[in-house]
Amino acid sequence: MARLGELERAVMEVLWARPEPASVRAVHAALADRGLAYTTVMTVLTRLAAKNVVRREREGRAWLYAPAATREEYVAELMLEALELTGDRGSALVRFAQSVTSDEADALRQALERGEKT
Amino acid sequence: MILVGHQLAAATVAVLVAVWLLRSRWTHTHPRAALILWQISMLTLVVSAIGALLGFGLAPYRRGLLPALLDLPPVFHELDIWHAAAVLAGLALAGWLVVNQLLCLRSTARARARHRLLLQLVARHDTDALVVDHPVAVAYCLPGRTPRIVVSQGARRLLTDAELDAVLAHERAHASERHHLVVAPFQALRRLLPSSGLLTRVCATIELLVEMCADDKAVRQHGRETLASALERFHANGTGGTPAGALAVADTPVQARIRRLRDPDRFAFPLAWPVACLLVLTALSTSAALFAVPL
Repeated sequence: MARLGELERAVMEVLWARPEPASVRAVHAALADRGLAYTTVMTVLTRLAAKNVVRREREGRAWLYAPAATREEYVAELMLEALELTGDRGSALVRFAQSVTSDEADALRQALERGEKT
Repeated sequence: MILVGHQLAAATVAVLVAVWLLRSRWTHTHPRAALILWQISMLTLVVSAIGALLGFGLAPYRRGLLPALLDLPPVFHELDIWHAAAVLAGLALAGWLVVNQLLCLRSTARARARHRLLLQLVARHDTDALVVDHPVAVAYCLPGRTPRIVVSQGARRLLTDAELDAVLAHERAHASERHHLVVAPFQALRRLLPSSGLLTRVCATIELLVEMCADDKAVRQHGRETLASALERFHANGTGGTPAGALAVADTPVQARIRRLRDPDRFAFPLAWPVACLLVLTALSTSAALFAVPL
């Protein structure tokens, strides 16, 4: 399970590093030094798509994959939840203490809204 | 009607104990004892409220509530309108409470799964916690089968090493003592009546007591002053601007925790606690027993 999580992360790193959507073959090539099977990369990408963190579109006979949001947007989403700024979702976590200025909160919200518009 | 009387008496005991808990000051010295009493009082109140409605509705049958309920469908038309309404209200209340708890469980489980996934994708593994690369200071515990302790880069920059260790110990206490399970039923109840000032206050009290429990555990390893200064840094860091609504309210509990660590009121363990416990437990068992046993 830990290995699968680590793979998901590595695949996201590859996708984030690319300006364009990538095919399974391209992601597999980028992770060549790990010696993964092609089907493993395909499974990971399918899983990530099912979890809505990756978007996929068909081009010809191949699927192309792209991150659904940038790393910064995901960080902003985590932080908004951690700071209890997302309405009733807050009960998911137990926190030590929160401290955020209104400017910082606005910046986080904007980071997430920018992501939702694109 | 004796049945209903018992249920109402049980509810009254639970309410009186809750009022006592809201007003007492010893609770901050002995948060764990207070939490236990809160939990059984709340359970008693819920059980007896349902029991009172059903007890009134099913009074004509002079039997335990559950057996009477099971045999009810064929003879339901024999009840007059008031008794029938009470039975339906009791069943509706019970169903509503259960469904709401389940819905809340499901929505938090989803939120946690999403949060866990995102952490996996963007957080960095450090020796003792996951680190999120963001300048705003947060430290929290994501509960679950394998709980995650998370700090932001901002929190690491804000705190000294000793303070950070104390904060992590606090989060580990949340994780190991399953504090999210203590808070969840109360939060679910509040979601049912979000405009209830009283329930909001009760929830805030429970959340504060849970924090204090975790503080106590962290303090045992890392000392009062370390944790107090960590809290103070968090607190001071957040007051740079005008905090948003929710955060403005959250300010006071942090101050209460700092005060408690620096200058503890040493309230003796209240002798009334075991008495109150015994009273509520009696009320709860009476109330629950009436569901099964005929009177």
